[in-house]
Amino acid sequence: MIKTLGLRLLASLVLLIAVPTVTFWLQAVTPGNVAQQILGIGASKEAVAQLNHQLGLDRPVWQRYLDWLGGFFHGDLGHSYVTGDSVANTLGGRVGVSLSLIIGALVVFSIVGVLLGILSTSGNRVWGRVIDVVSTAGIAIPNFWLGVLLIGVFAVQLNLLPATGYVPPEQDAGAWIASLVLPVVALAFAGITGVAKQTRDQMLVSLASPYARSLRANGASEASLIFRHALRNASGPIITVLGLIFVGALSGSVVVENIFVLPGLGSQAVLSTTQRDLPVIQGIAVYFTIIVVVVNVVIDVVNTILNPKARTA
Amino acid sequence: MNTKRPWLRIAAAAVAVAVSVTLAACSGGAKGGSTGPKPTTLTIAAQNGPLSLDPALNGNGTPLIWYTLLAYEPLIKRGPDGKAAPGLATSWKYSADRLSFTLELRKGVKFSDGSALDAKAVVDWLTYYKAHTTFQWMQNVSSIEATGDLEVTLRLSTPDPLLPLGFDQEGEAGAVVSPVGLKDPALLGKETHGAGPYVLDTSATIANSQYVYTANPSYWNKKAVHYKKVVIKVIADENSTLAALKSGQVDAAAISPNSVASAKSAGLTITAAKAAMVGVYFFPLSNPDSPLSNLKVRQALNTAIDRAGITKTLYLQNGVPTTQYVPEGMAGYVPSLEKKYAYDVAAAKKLLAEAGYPNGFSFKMVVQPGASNQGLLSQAVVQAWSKIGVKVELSSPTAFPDYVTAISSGDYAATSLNFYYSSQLTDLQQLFTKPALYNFFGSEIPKANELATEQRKYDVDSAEGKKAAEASETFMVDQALAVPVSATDTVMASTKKVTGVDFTAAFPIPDPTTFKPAN
Repeated sequence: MIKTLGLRLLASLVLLIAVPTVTFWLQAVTPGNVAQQILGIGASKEAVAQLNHQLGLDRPVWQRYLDWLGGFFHGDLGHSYVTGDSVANTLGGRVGVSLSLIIGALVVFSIVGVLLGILSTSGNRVWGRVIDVVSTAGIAIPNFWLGVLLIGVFAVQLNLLPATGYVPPEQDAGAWIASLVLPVVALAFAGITGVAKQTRDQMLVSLASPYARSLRANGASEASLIFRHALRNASGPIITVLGLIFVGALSGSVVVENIFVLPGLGSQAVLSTTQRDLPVIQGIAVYFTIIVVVVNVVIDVVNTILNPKARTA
Repeated sequence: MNTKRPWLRIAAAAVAVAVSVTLAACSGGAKGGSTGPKPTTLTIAAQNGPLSLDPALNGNGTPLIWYTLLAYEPLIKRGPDGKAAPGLATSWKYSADRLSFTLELRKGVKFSDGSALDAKAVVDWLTYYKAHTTFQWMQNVSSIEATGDLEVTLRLSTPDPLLPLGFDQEGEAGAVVSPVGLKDPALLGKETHGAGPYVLDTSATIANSQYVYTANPSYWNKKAVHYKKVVIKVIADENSTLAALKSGQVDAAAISPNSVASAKSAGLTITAAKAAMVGVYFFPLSNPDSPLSNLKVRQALNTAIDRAGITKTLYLQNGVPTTQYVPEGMAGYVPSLEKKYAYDVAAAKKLLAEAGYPNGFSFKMVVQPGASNQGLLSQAVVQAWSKIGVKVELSSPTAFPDYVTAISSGDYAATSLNFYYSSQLTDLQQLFTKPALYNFFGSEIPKANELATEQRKYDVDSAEGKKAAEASETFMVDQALAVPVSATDTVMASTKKVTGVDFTAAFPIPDPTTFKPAN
């Protein structure tokens, strides 16, 4: 198990360098003059050249890349071209927002998805149908549309929840949860479908296996059969799917953050991309990569604990 | 099978718990709408964050000025009637030869950081502003001197009547930064150092998300301060802005004409005023071989546009079809010019044939990103031109840097344009003379320079000034270097909790320092 984890961490380190590298070079080949953007369309050529020099943008791309990489290894992500503020400072206040949203969504689609999946194997036809409908809806309804709908109903009509914005938990824990409910639901909805479907398929296989029949024959209660035995055996593929859906939810968070006006990494990514603010985009790539790596490691660990077979894989 | 299925109940209970936890969390949320004591916080929404919090580097015109306006008191404060009133300057005047401009400053004013306002502070600020801005307010200023403890004199290389416009809320040249702030200009992007009614609360501010301002304890005119706190929320998505307004999270925000009906039905108050000319601007003189360098061609392109139809479709109740650069009511507007370029496809074709292009021609045009409805406007115009055989290839960059790259490439003969109203002379200077902000390729039009020189001799609203502005306007419309299509409104929606969301003349966005809590 230690060896497996070690290999995983090594692969993660490679990922941590590879992703920002790819982002850097993609940005480098995209046309657009940062200095002109900052100074405005009426700025003189001399002023633009001067600012380009000041920002180091007149140096070769590979040199800028090596500089960035050198800073990265020392924990320095550089400074925003546009505001001059350090990248760590720019993104620092936004990480918590994104984590609250993304982890909230992970928790919601895991729990609700698994429960719905189990319910649908109950043999009750109504539940089966409900799951089918919800699954189709989850795939068909885009999160931005759902977001607007949720705001319309719960914020504007019923005035139960705030329409937009984010309240830090240290300021007001209740308001923090309230500000997250709608975005988390909008982000988690599509994920619930995938998890429920996977749970249902795996549970059906498990419940049809000979060991389930033996347990029933021995008088094991249905609850014990489902939660202690079948679900545990089905957990491997379900957890794997959780990891995949989570990565998908990261890109979904960009859209959801914009609709609900959450000051997270996603909305900053959109803004910085339109401004060609390369250091900040690089920083966001690093942060997102770290989040993906950490969540995947956690999922691996959970998988290994639940499933002895995975320990040697 | 076991028909009782106790686990089913467990699972159902778990779902129920999850749902009720979710709903329980709702209770802390909704706070808007209720009537209680007078609100002490004003929350307004803007589509974009500031270009910079430094008034010399921020843009003007649009809600961008809110960010600096709250913290920086202008030298001249334009009142609701559009008239210039004292701000940090109590009086100002041009000399008889109009080659110098003197400002008398208010006594005893302190900046939010504690430093004092005097002539030296204003001289330092104007010098800094002139060196850093891309706007043209100070282009004719040759020297800035303190001529007394509280008197500043600007010498001009050529007469320029626009200085009072540059020094008001919209101009930002009058947004004096304190000596402490100017000592380290890098800080001006993160902090405010003004003499305005509010000061930026840096700890509560998240760049490009929310900007929090608290009342400035050392403001000189405390009775004009109506809130303890002002919050500007940056909301890029218009649906989110509307939802925030309707649920009472936001008190006021600019919305698009398409959202007016929905906002009204939700009980929001709508105010609107003419704010910008939208249309297409050509760069013909950059390429003498281009068909667009032919006056008849440009007039044909103007005549081929159904301005009334496009305006009604795109700007609804918030647009007026126009052929002019200034709106009705502003000095320089000539009613009879509206009859020029009446929609007539046959006449347009005839003009094209006379110019030597009976079968039309083609060119490339770039759409300005960011401004609302520019994409649809461009498509409508391009479709109209296709009816007279002129084919236009449209390019729509999503971000401003791409737009700048496109313009600089010289591949495009035209751009869509959203041009905020200021004064006729501003339009003439920025679009027709050299050097100019929008005259990207520095086209030289001797007659335009002459007309500008004539206008510069007079105050903008004097009888002679108006006459000179009308001459410029007539020349600009005749030359057809642009295709003005509509005079469009800025539309503000506000809740019942706030009053005073009013426009002033020659000011394209309401000034939030005049907003008040409703009784």
